[in-house]
Order: sequence, then C-alpha cells, then structure tokens
Amino acid sequence: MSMNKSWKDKMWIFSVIYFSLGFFNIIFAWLGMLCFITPILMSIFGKEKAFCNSYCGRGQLFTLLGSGKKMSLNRNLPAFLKSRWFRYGFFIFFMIMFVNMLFATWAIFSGSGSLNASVRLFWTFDVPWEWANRTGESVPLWAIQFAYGFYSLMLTSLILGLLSMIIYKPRSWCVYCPMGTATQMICKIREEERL
Amino acid sequence: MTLSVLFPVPYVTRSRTYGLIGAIKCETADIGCDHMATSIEKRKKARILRDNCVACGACVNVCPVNSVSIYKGIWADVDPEKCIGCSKCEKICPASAITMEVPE
Ligand code: SF4
Ligand code: SF4
Ligand code: SF4
Repeated sequence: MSMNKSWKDKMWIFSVIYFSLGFFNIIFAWLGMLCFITPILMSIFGKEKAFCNSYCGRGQLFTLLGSGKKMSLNRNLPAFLKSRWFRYGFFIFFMIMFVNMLFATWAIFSGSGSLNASVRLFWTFDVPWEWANRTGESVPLWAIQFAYGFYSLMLTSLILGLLSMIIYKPRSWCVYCPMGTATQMICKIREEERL
Repeated sequence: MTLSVLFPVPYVTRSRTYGLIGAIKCETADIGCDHMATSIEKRKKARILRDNCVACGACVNVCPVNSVSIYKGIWADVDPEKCIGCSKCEKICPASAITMEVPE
C-alpha cells in the first residue's frame, strides 16, 4: 500500500519528462494523448475523478511547486474565472482549437499543406522548434504536424497552469482545466442516469 | 462537543478560532455558585459549497485526518465527525468552495 502510494505521488515526474522529450524530439508529443484519453476513459468506466484526484502529474506538479516550494501567492481566483460559463466556455474553446489542429493535420495528410515546424503558443505566437523534428522519413509528415500541434496545446496549457499556480492558488488551473471539466461533467451525467 | 470553562471573549490561536456560544452551568456550581457564566467551546468545521466545487481533490490530499472524500467525482464531502477544523482544505481549495463554519 505504501509502495503503491509513493508511486502514485510521483506522477509529476512524467509531466516533466514529457515536456523535456518534446523539446528534443517532437514526436514524443503523441504521448500526451494519454493525458486526454486516460481521464475520460477512467470517468466513463466508473473510476470517477480518480485521474485528477490521484494520478494527474500536472496537478501534482502544481501542488509541488505551489505548496511544497512555496511559489504560489495563494490568492483567490477572480470570480469570473471560477464561474460555470468560463469553465464550460474554456472547455468548448479548447475543443474547437483541438479540432482546428486536426484540420491542420488533415491538410498535410491530404497533401494540401506544408509542415509548420513550430510550436504555437496561446494559439497565436509561433515559436521556431525545427530542431525537435528529427524523425526523418520514418514518420509520415501528418504525424509530425499533429505532434507539433499537440505539443503546442500541452505547452500553452502548462504555461497557463503555471501562471495560475503562481498568481493564485497552486491548483487554480484545475478549476478551468478542460480535462477536469470534462471528467466532472461525465460523472454528473452518470449520476443523473443512475438516479 | 466539548464543554469547558472558557474565556469571556472569543479568541484565536494559531490554527483555530474558538467562539463563545450559549451558556451552561459552571464548575463553581458545586460550591454554591450558580450564575450561568460559562460557555461551550465549539469548533468550526469545513463545509463544501457544492456548486463551486470542481472535484479536483486538492482538499482530500491536505486533510490531516482524512475527513474529505470526493463524492462520485462530482463534489467533495466532509465528514463533520472527523473534521478537526484545521482549515487546511479551505486554504488550498482553488475554487473557494470551502467555508469554515460552526455546525448548527
Ligand atoms: S483538473 Fe486537469 S490538471 Fe487538474 S488534476 Fe484534473 S486533469 Fe490534472
Ligand atoms: S479543493 Fe475545493 S474544488 Fe477541489 S475538490 Fe476540494 S472543495 Fe472541491
Ligand atoms: S478543516 Fe482540516 S480536518 Fe476539517 S476537512 Fe478541512 S482539512 Fe480536514
């Protein structure tokens, strides 16, 4: 049990490894799909919010830096960031941007676009990231474009989360994290069906 | 609930707030004094504002006596029997979904 617990508490290491790997080779960005699929599957198959509550490396990282390393100013989030419409609105915005990224991937797949080897932060600023494109011919171009797009989403949300951690409470990102919102929604729907 | 002879004004220690409510017969009743001058020590306990809770679990991880759990992934639940009113959960909650209140 204690072994199990200590292992569960170290998930933040995977978060750090993930972003480091993507820095050196963008194809590892694909691993981030685990952070999308795992929480959704867990809440659909009866594990409720176990991902957020016990396994999410990002949540642990924010606790570690914010509470452990005392990097957080521990202020309350402004009311509008906590409001339901902002949480749901951000979720919808995030999903639209995800689909937008799939279109960019499709454009390459269908041969109508060319690879954009940069990481787009905040859906606006392109940061050159060519050095991380080192798979050569072995991986199709569309998969590399997807990796760039996905890493952009992950890095943007990490930066938003870190800023929230510093300015507000350590886990403020979790209030409007799209995966947190989605899993809570799934749990609510499941509970309504049960009743 | 703890009954004790307490101070005439509410006071604050480093980690908890004690309040004065009500009055009960004091210990001096034994020796003939019957003025109702003492009070009941009542501790605040955590209460979850369910509409604000995002079920992140931050409160579960900080509670020193394991009195918080996440109900079906929807909101946090406090066991008032176990809660010692330390307010650690209130401080960590990113959604401001916890208040410290004296139970009714
Ligand atoms: S809300 Fe998001 S960041 Fe927070 S624990 Fe859940 S999945 Fe992780
Ligand atoms: S920390 Fe706050 S938002 Fe998170 S589960 Fe506890 S009460 Fe809910
Ligand atoms: S006030 Fe302290 S003891 Fe009570 S639920 Fe919160 S963390 Fe646990």
